[in-house]
Amino acid sequence: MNSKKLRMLLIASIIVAATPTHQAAAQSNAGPERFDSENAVLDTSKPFAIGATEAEQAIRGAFGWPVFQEGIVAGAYFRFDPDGYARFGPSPRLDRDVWEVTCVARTVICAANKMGVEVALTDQGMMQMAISGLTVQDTFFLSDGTSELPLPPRVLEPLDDRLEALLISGGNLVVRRENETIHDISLNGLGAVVPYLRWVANKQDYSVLPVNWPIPNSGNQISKGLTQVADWNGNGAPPQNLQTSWAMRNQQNTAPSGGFDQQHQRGNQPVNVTIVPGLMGATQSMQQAGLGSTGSAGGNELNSEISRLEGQIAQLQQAFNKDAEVAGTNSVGQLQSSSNQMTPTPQATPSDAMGSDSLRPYLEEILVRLAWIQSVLQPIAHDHAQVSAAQSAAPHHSTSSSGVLQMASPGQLETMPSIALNQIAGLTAAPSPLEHSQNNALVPAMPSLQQSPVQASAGISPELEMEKALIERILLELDEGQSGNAPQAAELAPVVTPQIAGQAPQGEFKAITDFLNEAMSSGG
Amino acid sequence: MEPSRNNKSKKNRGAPFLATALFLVVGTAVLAGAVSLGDYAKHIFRNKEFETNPIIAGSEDDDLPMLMRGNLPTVTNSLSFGTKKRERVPRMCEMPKNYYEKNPWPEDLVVGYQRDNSYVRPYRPNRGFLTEREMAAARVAWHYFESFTQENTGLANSVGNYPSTTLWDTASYISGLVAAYELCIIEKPEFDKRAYALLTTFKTLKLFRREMPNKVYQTKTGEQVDYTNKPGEVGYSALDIGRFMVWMRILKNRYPYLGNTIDSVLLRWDYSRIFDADGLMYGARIDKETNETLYDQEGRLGYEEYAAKGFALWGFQPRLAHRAEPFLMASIFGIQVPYDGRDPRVFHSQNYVVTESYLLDGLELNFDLPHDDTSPDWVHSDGWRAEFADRIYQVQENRYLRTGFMTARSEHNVKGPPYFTYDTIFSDGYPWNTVTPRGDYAPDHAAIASKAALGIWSLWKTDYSGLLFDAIIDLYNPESGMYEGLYEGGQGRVEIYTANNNGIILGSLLHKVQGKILTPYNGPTEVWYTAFRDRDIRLVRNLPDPPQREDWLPALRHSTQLELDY
Repeated sequence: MNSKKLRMLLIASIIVAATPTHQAAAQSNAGPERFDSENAVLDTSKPFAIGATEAEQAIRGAFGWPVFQEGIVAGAYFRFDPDGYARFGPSPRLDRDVWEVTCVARTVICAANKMGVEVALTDQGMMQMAISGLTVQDTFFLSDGTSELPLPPRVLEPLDDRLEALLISGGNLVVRRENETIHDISLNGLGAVVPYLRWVANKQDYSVLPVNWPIPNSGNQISKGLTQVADWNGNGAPPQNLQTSWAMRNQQNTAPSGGFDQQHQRGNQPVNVTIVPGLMGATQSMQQAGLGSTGSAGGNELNSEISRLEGQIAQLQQAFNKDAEVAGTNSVGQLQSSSNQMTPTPQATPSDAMGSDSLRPYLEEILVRLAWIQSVLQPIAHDHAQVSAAQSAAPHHSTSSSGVLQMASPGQLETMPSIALNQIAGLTAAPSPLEHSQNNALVPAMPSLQQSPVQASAGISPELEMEKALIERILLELDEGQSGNAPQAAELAPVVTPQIAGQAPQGEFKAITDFLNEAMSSGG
Repeated sequence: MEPSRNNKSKKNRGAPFLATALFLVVGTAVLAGAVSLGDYAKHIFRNKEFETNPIIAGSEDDDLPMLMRGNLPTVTNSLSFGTKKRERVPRMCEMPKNYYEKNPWPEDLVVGYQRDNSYVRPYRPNRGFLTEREMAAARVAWHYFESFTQENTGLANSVGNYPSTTLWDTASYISGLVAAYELCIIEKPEFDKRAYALLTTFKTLKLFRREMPNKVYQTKTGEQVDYTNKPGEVGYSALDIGRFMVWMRILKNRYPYLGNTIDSVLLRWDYSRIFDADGLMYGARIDKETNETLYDQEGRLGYEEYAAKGFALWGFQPRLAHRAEPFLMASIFGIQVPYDGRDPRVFHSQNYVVTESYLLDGLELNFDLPHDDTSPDWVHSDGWRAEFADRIYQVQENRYLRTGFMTARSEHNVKGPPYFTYDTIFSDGYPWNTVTPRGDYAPDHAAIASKAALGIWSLWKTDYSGLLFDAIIDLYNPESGMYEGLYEGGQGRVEIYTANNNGIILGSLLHKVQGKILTPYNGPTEVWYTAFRDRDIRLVRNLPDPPQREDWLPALRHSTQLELDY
């Protein structure tokens, strides 16, 4: 009963997320209305990267975009229209392995899709993936064709810089269900798609592009004959470099709040709604209502709120478990599954949700508090991400007794929504079965990474080996961040350190001075 | 001595008289001879001048007043050879029940090119009364126009309730209108009301820079708009105008009482830039930098010849546009498929091979030359067009036979991005290439186009076309019209409704009943040819004179494919 109510709460939030505003946007996006000049949110004369050019297309019918931009960047060919619709692929024909980007009409809220995988940005500009048709049993791997790297289930949550860097480095995203591969999707081109999403979301502001991005010099790099700002007839402001932050963008965004998934619709496909933006929307509402403070929130206030929340969660957990026993089902896993998917699969009807009167006020209060905590944690998590990025840039590692590299300060990098959902499900104190399975799956799923460096390097180039080791290290750090405490070295799978072909295995490593000293002494 | 002196003096007195008289006689004779000789010479020179410099109509030496040249008869097959014009087939509800028994399709035809380069196809069309199933589809297709025609302007929306249209799509609306009347779905009052509403709107439409109709118009207001349906201008399309002129000719020939209205619409336009000296067609667009009008050659193999014939029906001479050259062949499933030889990398214009351009030529013009008003349906005087069309059909049937994919490819709208695709048989070097206007490969949007399927069914009576018919004929929404098509990849219907699709479907059904949709012109001379004869407007706008035999487009043939090519 209670599990049903919980699920219904999630569904109710989904229904709330599917606002009339969204429906109106979807309708205006469904036909030739898409080509209304108000939908032109991009200036196709402004190059996304050096070498991109604006081109004209011959239109046979009564409507369409007469211009578009095409080019190549980060190994991906691309074309995009003034409404943000874009395609990225490895060949100029854009005929295979293509990411298709569509935007909510008249907004810069876009998402990229490829074979059931959807990539979008959160309100904070973080990359987030969604994969259709997932269940709690599904596991994720990053494959480079020769080996596979297990990915944590929170790959479906907003990604921090390192996990994003890992995914956009290429390879294939493999999703398995009971050893059966249900998705094997190339991530090639994502390195261009995600910057494009950010560039569009920031109204073609070059400052949001990666550091090494081939940004054209202003003015002189723009090819002659391109649309000039004076000719801009889109609804939005003329293209210009806007020094906006993500927070500023959220305020400036003309789209209704609630994040991408509430508003975005691809063609005639069903609306893809997630709980995450709903929570974010609640956060914003609270901020607007003055119910919570963000930057000024002190740690004590936060801790006391968390304590109160934990108490409530414990009560809820008791009721929940009691109900689960009665029902004879393990709904925790199902709820966890929903929390890990951008596209939850509702298993109850709205009429069921109407019956959750007894728990509804209680849960609503929890959600409000969670939203407030999220708003408080957000800058903290952001700061932590920056610290982590700085640490990545200037490694500050200590070596454990087993030689495993550990981060000096493995803080919790989880984003607020996932924390909130984990707490609702009573998962804060004890890792969920899913997490256990994921962590346990780390070891057997990495045969190629567990073999000796000599074996590993037998068929793999040193560069690939090094890249693999780096990825391994990033993943390890991520796991540490997720578990909350630095794992004991003995519990971890062996980690391959960067090896050059012909180098001694890790256990046999000696400094060259030691080697020379030993040789001298033995020789003497 | 004296008498002799007297005699001598008498003789001397008579000599001057004689000399004078002689001089006068000789002088008169010489003068008369000179005059006669001059007259004779003058006569000779005059006659010689006529022999060496024949007067050309429209030249300075033309004795025939310009005013009168419009009265020259338009020379067609029937006038030139004294043969009988084709008879107009009555409306379906007025046809005798034994019409098709009395007018059977010949059984013993010799297929292939004939001596006059006309062509007899190995296929026959579907012919006969519409069945109930076909009539249901026709009514639904017409319902599109009932639902999406604007009361104020008489213009029909191109796509559903989106209020904009092109001349191409308006021609499709006229196709639907004529078919609805001829198939007895509507009666004459409704037909006339719609026809006059449309034509009078066209009479007042603002032209693109006082030349030709803009590419796009807002259907509610009749305003010039751009591709985003905002007031503005984008240029004009020679292909769209060419198709529109085909249907203006069909309308005028079938319903002569509309003739003056139609002529007045077309006489407003300025045709001075739409052809070059070689008879190539040019469209217009706007230079973004300078805002000047740019004229680009328009049309590729298939569409180009069809639109060219639309202009030729009104006396223009698009000689080069009507020729197949330059073209190449791509061997697909054993069929050598012709495609335009102009390299897209050089000319920046794609060479799409689709069914539609050939279908329209077959349905509306029977693959005939513009001056042909006599040949029966089984003879196609524009022979190579019919022969090429057979290849377009056969390669699609072969694809079905080899792969199982039912194939009837055309350009069509799709719901959602990219909203429009060229679903081609061949383009950009690839067979079965489905591409967006900006060049993206979009195989997910490959579909059996409804208009192509029913057009094929109408023109090629085969088992395969019957399969296409079954796939499409019930694919409709009674409230909105026929669906655009059926996705090849199993995604179901292309759930979008367009004027072009529904208009061509109605035209295909009309073709089943009546055959060639264009009928001969039976009136005397036309205002189109006689107007503005007292002013220079005809010269300024490049309005043509009635075509004579030397103005006819040539009947040509190309090599035929005798066996499959793998």
